[in-house]
Amino acid sequence: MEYILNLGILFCIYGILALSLNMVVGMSGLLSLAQAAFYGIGAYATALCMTKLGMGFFTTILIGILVNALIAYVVGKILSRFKGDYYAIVSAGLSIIVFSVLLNWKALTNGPLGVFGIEKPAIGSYHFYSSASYLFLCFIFLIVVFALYLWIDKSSFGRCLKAIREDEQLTCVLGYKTKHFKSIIFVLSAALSGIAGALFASYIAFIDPSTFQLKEGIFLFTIIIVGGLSSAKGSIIGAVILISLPEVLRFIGLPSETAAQLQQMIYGAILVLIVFFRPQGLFGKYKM
Amino acid sequence: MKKVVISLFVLMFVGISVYVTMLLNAVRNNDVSNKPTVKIGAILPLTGGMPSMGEAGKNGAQLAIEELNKNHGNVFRYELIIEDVGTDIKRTIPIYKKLVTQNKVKAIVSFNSQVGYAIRPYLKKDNVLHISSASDHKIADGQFSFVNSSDVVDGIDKLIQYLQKEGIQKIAIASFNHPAAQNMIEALKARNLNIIYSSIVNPDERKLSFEVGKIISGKPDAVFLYAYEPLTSLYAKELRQGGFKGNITSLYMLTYSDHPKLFEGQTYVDYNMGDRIFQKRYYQRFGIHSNSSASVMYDSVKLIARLFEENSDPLTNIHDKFVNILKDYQGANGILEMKYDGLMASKPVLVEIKNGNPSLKEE
Repeated sequence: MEYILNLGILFCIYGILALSLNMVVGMSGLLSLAQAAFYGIGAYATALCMTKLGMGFFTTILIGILVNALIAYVVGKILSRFKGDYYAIVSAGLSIIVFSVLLNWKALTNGPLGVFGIEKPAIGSYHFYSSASYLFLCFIFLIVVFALYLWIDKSSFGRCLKAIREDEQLTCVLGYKTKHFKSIIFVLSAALSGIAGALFASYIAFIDPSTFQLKEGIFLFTIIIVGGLSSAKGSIIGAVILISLPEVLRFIGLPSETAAQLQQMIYGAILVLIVFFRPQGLFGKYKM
Repeated sequence: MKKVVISLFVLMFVGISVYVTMLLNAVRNNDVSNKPTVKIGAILPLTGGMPSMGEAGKNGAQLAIEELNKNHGNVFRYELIIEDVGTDIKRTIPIYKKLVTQNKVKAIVSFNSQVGYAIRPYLKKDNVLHISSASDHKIADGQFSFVNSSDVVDGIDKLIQYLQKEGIQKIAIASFNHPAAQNMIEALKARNLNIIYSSIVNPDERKLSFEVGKIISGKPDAVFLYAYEPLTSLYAKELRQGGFKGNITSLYMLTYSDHPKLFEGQTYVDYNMGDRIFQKRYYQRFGIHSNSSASVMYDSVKLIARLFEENSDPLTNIHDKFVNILKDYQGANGILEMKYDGLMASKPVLVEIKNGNPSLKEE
């Protein structure tokens, strides 16, 4: 049961990340690979504020959101000048820069040694120590982000984002400031990633830069491709599939000498087949 | 139709691979015993950025288990449950929970410091012993979490003594970005050495000419090399090709080089001059040379087994029990002693590569 609860925590954290990324990629058609960077900034904001400044978890979430929003606003201004593959390359560049900063700004981040001793959240005298209570907390945040996604999806703002996705030039001609819209959704997505980062830091109790590399951004991208672009439900299902698949493979009785390598092979093969048969993802409304 | 054929081909390929390996495993696993079983979990990086260390650790632990189960005098039979964490820290706690709640392991051995930090808060509550082979001793709490690794401070002190004796003034660092390397560099810097340049590359970096050029241009007397293979050999090759004729020294990394001839005549500090027979047994069993991860993991499993064999209540007051065990334990890493905070380490010694083999240097 403890095992399942802990997987549930990861489903929620990666569900939040997938939903926030889907706002940028699925809803707006912007190929962002920068999500791991914002995930990392959120995690470090919480880790550093809790361990060095003794702040409470919920305050650090707000700080993570604000820092992410600020950075995303500046970066978004630059990114909004690009589209398509160029957007992906520039956003990947951002991810690499953030990773390098986390790794090399040792005075602040402790470099590759990471930050440890990150406490679990508390409300008054109640601490979210148990897996069940932490899962509940993560689930609440997931619901909030899910609701926010649906609200944006159905709003005029969301419709404008979809219009940008389908034909940015035409949307521009109709009088919409597309750069402005792209910038707003990028900031919002980054801010929400900060929540996931904070939840992750407190959950794992230790963070180092290796978790927030570009490959994590690609993993998040895979989640929304498998789950389905522009689909809130798909984001959650994608996270559940990609987190649980390697765990399921631990139970199929593979010989210990080659289990790890075989698990990776099977994992890869299943992903290939999913994308092969459902290129739009399981619940996708939009195909790249 | 084309999609179906390709899918079938992919599934068939994976299916056959799985079947063949399971068959081979079934043939090998024929050990049946009525003894009560102690399960030991191993959380290792078998895929991802450093699989060579994870693989060696797995082999070391497996060799220990095989030797333990061959000993008919033992009270318990030992079972090793290996889980791959890669370098994906997010999977650490679910893996740990699986091992504890599903597999009912009594002890866990691990390699990465990230794993050690992530599982440490749960050990006491779950009554599970953990021995990490990470070089970061802060993982150890002396209660349920222990570290079986090298003591960086002792090792660096020994190295500094040697450098001073040899009149070496200026050194350069050639290393990779890793917590262990970071600890060593910090320890070196704290000794007020004249460090003319620190080359720190990513573990997957292979083009070192620029970095090596910077090192050589500073004309150091010695280069402190700390990296896993293949970086160890690549650095050494580039340094020599670039005309560097000074000393190449290290903390234990040269012992595990794939190309020891590159380091012929070089002196460095090592902790691993204990059971040379272990290395022979390892080679006979796996057909490859052992490395630091293998010997440490081997010792960790053997120490856990001693704890269970010699105590009716093995998981209480573990620190003192380990201190007792270590009094006469001579393992793959030599004689270990319990240092502060549950760090188990052997004493550093000066080692020289002679005829391609590490050997104790006369002092």
